[in-house]
Amino acid sequence: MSRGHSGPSGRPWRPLVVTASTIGMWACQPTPLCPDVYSNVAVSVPAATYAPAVPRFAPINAATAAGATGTTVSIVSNQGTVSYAGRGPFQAFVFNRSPFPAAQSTVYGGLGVENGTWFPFFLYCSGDGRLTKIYGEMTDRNVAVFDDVDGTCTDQGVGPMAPVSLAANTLSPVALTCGFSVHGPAPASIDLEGSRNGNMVFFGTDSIALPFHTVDCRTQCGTPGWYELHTIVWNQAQQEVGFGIVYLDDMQVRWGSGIELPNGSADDTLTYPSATWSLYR
Amino acid sequence: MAGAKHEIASAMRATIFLSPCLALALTGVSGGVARAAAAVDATPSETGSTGLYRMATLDGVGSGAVHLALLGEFTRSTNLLVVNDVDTRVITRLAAAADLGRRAEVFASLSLSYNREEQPVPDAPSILETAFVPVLFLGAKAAAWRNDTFAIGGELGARVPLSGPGLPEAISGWFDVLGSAQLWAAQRSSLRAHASIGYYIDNGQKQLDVTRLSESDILLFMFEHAAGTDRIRGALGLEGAFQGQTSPRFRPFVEYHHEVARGAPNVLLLTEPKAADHQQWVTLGLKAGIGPRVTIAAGVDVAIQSSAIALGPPLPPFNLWAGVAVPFQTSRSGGP
Repeated sequence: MSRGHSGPSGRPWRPLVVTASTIGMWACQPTPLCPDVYSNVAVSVPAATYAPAVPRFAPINAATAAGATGTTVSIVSNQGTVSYAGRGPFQAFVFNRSPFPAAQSTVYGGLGVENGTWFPFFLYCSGDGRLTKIYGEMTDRNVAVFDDVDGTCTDQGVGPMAPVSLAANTLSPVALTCGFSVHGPAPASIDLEGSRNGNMVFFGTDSIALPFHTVDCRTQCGTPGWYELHTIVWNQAQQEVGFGIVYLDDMQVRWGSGIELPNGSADDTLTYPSATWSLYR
Repeated sequence: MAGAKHEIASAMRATIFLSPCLALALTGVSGGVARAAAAVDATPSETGSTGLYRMATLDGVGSGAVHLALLGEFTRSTNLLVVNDVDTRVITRLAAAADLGRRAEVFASLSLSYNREEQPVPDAPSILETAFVPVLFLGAKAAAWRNDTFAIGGELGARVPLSGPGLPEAISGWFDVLGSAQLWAAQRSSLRAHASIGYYIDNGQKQLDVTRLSESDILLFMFEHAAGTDRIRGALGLEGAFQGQTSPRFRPFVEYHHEVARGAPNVLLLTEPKAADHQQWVTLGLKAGIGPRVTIAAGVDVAIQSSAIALGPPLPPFNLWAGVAVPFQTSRSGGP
């Protein structure tokens, strides 16, 4: 192109660039993912027998339809097997129940166990006895599935839960999720940062905390909204390992909806009253 | 008198002869003046099909030329796939389109994509992943009906990955209905509108072995391979043409694209409770005809809205592109 034409041909780019910049800056983009980072801690879980002394809820039978493949649930009296995301079937048991009005369901929390990996999962049971969804996680990957399923779910006519024997296992690797910062001073200290090993006081003892997945419930899970850090906690002094959720909301930072092994405690809530948090993803 | 009668008879014969020619031209059977002019500047789009840049049009069909183009794209974005990451992608394309008769065109485009993804990790070295993705686009389109003002036709195409497993299952395809209309024309300028609507069958993820991959691995693969899910897609284009006494021919254009995912989401990427299934972007471009043959072009894609990552990779905020195109007239050519 000759010099004489270079001026006029360059001018059209100015409005183009300005327009593009204006639009691009306001583009609606999904939340970016976390880098693939894993903890260098191998969490040793002692053998355990889970047998709640005082059941907090009626045990359930839950099952996907016969012939289901991929995602399957086969729970009788709160224990059985589950598979999802190409993993399993693995040993699984149900330890928690909570209403979830936003999903018009009762959600049952459970845990699948394999050597190397825990599989926290949540069964969505409708009021008319249907198993409609399963939300499944795995501690070795920062990933979750939320599958529609066709199945049944009932607590009617279900026998008492028998003790669940769990072999000793080691959780490794544990994925580390990202996008948050939680800090609180002693005595209820908590220090969690994305993509790093964290620590928090867990039943009075400073423990290793490994957040492996997050759930953003700020808008569509209920009112007021909240943010969840799904976390493995290892109290090495007491040889206890727990799975639970660190809830972040406008009021406080608290731990709940979890289970600790080997003692099998599943109804504990811990609060970190002076903790502050922020999200950056 | 005899001479006058002869002149009148000649004029009548000419009129009788010209009428079918005019009719043919108006109905587009042999091509009209406007179509011939448009065909001069017809250049291959990203798939090879003549058109703007991201969308095919019917303007180049039947021009009697083989159109070749060398195209390049560059995008660099941060915090797109992985937190605080830096994604860089460079694509080169060699695209070609050739007529099959006066109403059809076959096209192809060889695309070589280099992707570089750097993920910063706190207190650790960054994760760096690179990928080289060769892809071949193939297809054909035809004008079903057209005159100097309107044209309607259709296009079929396929996207063939040239590396990795999964062939032939991983071949994707599309079919689009195309329409063009001349909105306004003067001696040295014109304004044309283009539209397309169709369906894209996206089999790109069939190359992906998800069983042992992380979320970011999967999303990175989808970004590198432009793999999403089946989708309805529509586009609107507006194209101007201006030429001064001595200046090159300028053809600024804008494309608006809107896609709605219809296929199943990747369940391993359902990071949001409700998956947004729409994505939109605009493409702004300018073509300049240099001399009688060469057209240079450049532009930018600007993202408006990305769908949820379970349905496809996010659109980079900006994607710059540029290229040069040259037509070669075939022996049957009736055009310029």
